[in-house]
Amino acid sequence: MWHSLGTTMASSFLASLVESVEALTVILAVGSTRGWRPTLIGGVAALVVLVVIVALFGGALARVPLNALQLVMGALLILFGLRWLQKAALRAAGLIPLHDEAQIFRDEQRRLQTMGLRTGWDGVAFATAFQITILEGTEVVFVVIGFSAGSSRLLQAASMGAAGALILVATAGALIHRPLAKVPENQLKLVAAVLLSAFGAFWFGEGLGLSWPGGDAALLVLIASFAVVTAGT
Amino acid sequence: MNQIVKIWQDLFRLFVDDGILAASTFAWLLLMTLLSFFRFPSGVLSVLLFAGLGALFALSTVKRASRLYQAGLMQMSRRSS
Repeated sequence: MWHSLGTTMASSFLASLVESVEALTVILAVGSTRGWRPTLIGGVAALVVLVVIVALFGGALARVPLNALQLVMGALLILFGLRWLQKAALRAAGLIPLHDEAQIFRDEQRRLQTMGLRTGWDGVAFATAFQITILEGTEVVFVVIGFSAGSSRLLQAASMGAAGALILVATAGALIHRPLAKVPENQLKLVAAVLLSAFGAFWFGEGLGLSWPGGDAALLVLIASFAVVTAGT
Repeated sequence: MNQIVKIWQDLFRLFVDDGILAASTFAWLLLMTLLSFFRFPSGVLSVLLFAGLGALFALSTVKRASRLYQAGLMQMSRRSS
């Protein structure tokens, strides 16, 4: 089980790192352009909404039969992972532009500047910060639940990985006040996509009641296999 | 209201970007589920599950890459003319 715990924590950390960096870029763009107060309130409001949703649904999820949870989460992880994997492969082939946080930051600043500044409460800043935090936060929650698929030990490991990524990015953002453009996001997304797809296939198989050759070690084989298929494509 | 609709659309796009990949993946998972009811050997099904996903991913990615490449070539020839 040790390799499952370590792999789960590392996978959750990587996937959450990518999401957190994307959210930070937009939050920084909004805050620096339209003011920090409504931006931070928007971000915090979204986090509160997410916590409430997780608290409400978390208990309900615990009552879902394990096989059903693994099937559904496995299928969603596969869809999510293969989508990321395809984009990462097309970026690596140079067919779609690389994800560039610095460019996104500039574009977002320009877009927000054209909306005109407000005196008093800035609803645009609140809404933009809220929206990006909800979106990226939902992805992190999904990734954490998906990677753990019903096991409380794996949920703890995945949660620790995600929390570590969030704390690291938030601290870096607070210190540097610039988008983390030097983070090799495209490469991290490729690795995270391989992990998501492998975990998804593994959990889906578990949900079907399949016994993977080699037990939990099959997860490592799946990770290597998806990496080979991606490289080959 | 617009913001809520946009958030829902963004959430949907988390899972579905390439419609063909998403639909074929869903169909393959459904087929695997059906086969599991017919007591196929577990080891065979698990290998099939991965092989199918790998093949669908490779085929749809190559197809999408080809479309993007063709679109890029057309754009370049329009610019040069």
